[in-house]
Amino acid sequence: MSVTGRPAKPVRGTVVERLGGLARRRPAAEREASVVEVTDKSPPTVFQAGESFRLERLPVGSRVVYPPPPMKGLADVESGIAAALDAPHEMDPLDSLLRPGMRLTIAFDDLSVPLPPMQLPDVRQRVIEQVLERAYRAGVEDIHLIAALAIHRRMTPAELRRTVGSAVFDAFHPDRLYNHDAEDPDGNVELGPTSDGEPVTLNRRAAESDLLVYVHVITATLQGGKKSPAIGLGSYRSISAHHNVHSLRHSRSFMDPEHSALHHSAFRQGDVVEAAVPVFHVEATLNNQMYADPLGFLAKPEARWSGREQAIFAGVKRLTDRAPARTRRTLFQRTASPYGVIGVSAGAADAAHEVSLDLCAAQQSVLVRGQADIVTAGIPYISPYNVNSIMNPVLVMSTALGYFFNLYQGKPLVRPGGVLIFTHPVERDFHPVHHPSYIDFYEEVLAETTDPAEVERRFERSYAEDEWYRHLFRTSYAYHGAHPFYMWYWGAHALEHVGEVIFVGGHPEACRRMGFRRADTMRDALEMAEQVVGRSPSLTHFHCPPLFYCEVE
Amino acid sequence: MRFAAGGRALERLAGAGGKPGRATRVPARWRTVASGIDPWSEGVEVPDQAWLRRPGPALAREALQQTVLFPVTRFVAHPRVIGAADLMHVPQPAVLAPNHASDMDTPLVLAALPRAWRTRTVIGAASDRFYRRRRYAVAAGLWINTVPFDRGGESRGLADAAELLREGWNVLLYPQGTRTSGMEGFRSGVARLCVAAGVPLIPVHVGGTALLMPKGRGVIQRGKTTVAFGRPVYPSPDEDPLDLMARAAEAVAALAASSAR
Repeated sequence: MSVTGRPAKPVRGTVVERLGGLARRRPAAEREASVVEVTDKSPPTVFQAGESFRLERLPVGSRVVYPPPPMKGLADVESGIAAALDAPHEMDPLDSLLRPGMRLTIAFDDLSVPLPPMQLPDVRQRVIEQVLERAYRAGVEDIHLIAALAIHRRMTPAELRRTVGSAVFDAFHPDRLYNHDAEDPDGNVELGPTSDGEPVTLNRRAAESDLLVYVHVITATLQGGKKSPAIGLGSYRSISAHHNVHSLRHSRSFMDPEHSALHHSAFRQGDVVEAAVPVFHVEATLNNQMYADPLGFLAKPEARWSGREQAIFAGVKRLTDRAPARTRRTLFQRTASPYGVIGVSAGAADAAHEVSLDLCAAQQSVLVRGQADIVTAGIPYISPYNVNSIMNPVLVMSTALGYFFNLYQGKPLVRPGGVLIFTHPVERDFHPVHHPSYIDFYEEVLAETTDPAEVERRFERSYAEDEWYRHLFRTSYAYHGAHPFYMWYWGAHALEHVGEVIFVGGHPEACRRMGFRRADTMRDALEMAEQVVGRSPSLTHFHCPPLFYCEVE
Repeated sequence: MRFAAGGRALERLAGAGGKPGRATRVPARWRTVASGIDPWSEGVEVPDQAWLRRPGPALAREALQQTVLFPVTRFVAHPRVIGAADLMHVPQPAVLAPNHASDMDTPLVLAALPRAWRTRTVIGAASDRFYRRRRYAVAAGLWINTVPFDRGGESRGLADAAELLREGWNVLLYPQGTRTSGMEGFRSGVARLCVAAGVPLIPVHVGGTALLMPKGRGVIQRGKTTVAFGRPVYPSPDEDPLDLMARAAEAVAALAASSAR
């Protein structure tokens, strides 16, 4: 697999050609402006803290790593999709794969990507509409659409409608547009073990199809590729083969598929799936334009804000400081981002995914020289698992130590034994419908131990096989009983790597239960961190979101 | 550590000023409600405002209580008073020892006391709570005739209370030390005071206030309350304060049981 920084395999296809060979460069090295040093005259730095913002003064000499500005999206997304379907990588054009009487299944990523949800029309809708149009033209009648949930919660009809569009929803729901059920004993088939003995399960409809079209939305290098059908349409048993403490501790990092044990295992499962059923992948890569106008400036360095932008920020901050928590949550959860589609690639898994990885690198990678003793970051209000829901303490942990910590290639941004300081209220607040097993995980498991290996050994099986959680997962809108465990393992590598984790403004009880420290102010947190890493520490602030990753030398 | 100092205008505009949002704002000064020795409190607290016990301020207090405090208290709490008339037979000075569940207990007991008792009664108020600022101390003294009671160094507080008893004042002290739900936690300090000063202890039970004004909250609802005064408990000269306190606690519990009927 080719990633920027290494000699790229020759890639072909309209998107890369349109980019004029950008993928062959090393964009991270050209991003010096994204790393800003704090001086005496620097303004305070904005930290997200759940559904509010904090302005914090960082020590002079600290580095702030900002996300690269959003790349321009395709002017004509429809044509981009059509071109990708007509000239796929290492596969025949989609039209030539479709024939009357065939069984066609279209699977698509669920609502965990992108974050926040994108403004309508969703790119999945655009791709699915074009695939359906071609299928109709070719005389295909047996078509099913499946939301590839893995062991996430089921999508509600409204969420499905939002994702695939009203026309498709009205034509297919509920009998031919539905959620994958990872716990359905009759709805899944075993495809046999991989070369390393990992079990592979696939949705029965997908496995028995003549062609599976998988629609990916790529916002990070973690996503996409041939692992997606194996995970998204898999079962608890097949997913647990790589979502375990050992794999996640040896994934350095999830954002670097080449060095990720998680990816290696899932790719092996993907190979088994691809051998069993032909899969036509369509990957749409988005830029990082997370903030809609007039809040677009939030992704810029604070020193570059105009007077008007400062006034808007002040208004927003005062509003979020004063609004009741419920109002704030509703407001934030309703926001949708004006992402641009920067590329669409289709065809065989590896070749199509390689284009997406190059596009991701072009959009997101920032070169950072050297690790830091202390890394700070603001945790936002959303993670992949609380769309239209509540960010509970376990999700805060997985976002901070699972996602934010792992947004690197090469080495982690923080040195071994260093300190991570996050801003988030870490409220002990759970969505009773979406996260029932999280509540028990928090109350029962974390009261006993926070060691991921012990958690896995002692508790995971009983939660995964609990009939009540299984019932809620299959019939309600609950995450799988084992899901909170995976969230905890997600941070296993970080827990092993860092010396201390401090949440500024975090709820004392919740932080204590998860084994973290908390402070009221950033200055207190820095003083606490100094006790761990020594005097005059180096500090880097990871100014995420919008999403990006660091290539650390 | 030297910190960045630019962008003051943005900080002022956004209302940050080093303070985070409402949800996580750090109080300017931590509220102290726990008892125990506070090494930083030496010399910080305001002294007793003795001048408020002189005739002039006492007259103002009586006027304030009769026109504002008691009507409001009766409106909110609808007290049913039991046994107040019998206090006429009890020698003064004495120590009044009610249970304590709410800030509303003190005005209720004062409102229930006969005037001959009320005008001669001072309230032991936690010095770490009511005597942190001069204006709090004056306000509390003016409204309910408080004297500072040092919860941290209990002997010091008791010595001050004994001095007041010698001067002829009745002292109202809460044996539980702080607002507590239920009848637990009666400490022996009040009993030691009675034994040392040779004054009777009057058990008092105040019921129902925790629902109207719970600890840490303002008045949240109106309701019915009871204030019951028991027969005085006289200390024997060499009685163990713990025994006396046990008798007093039993008496308060008996009042609670009888007033609930």
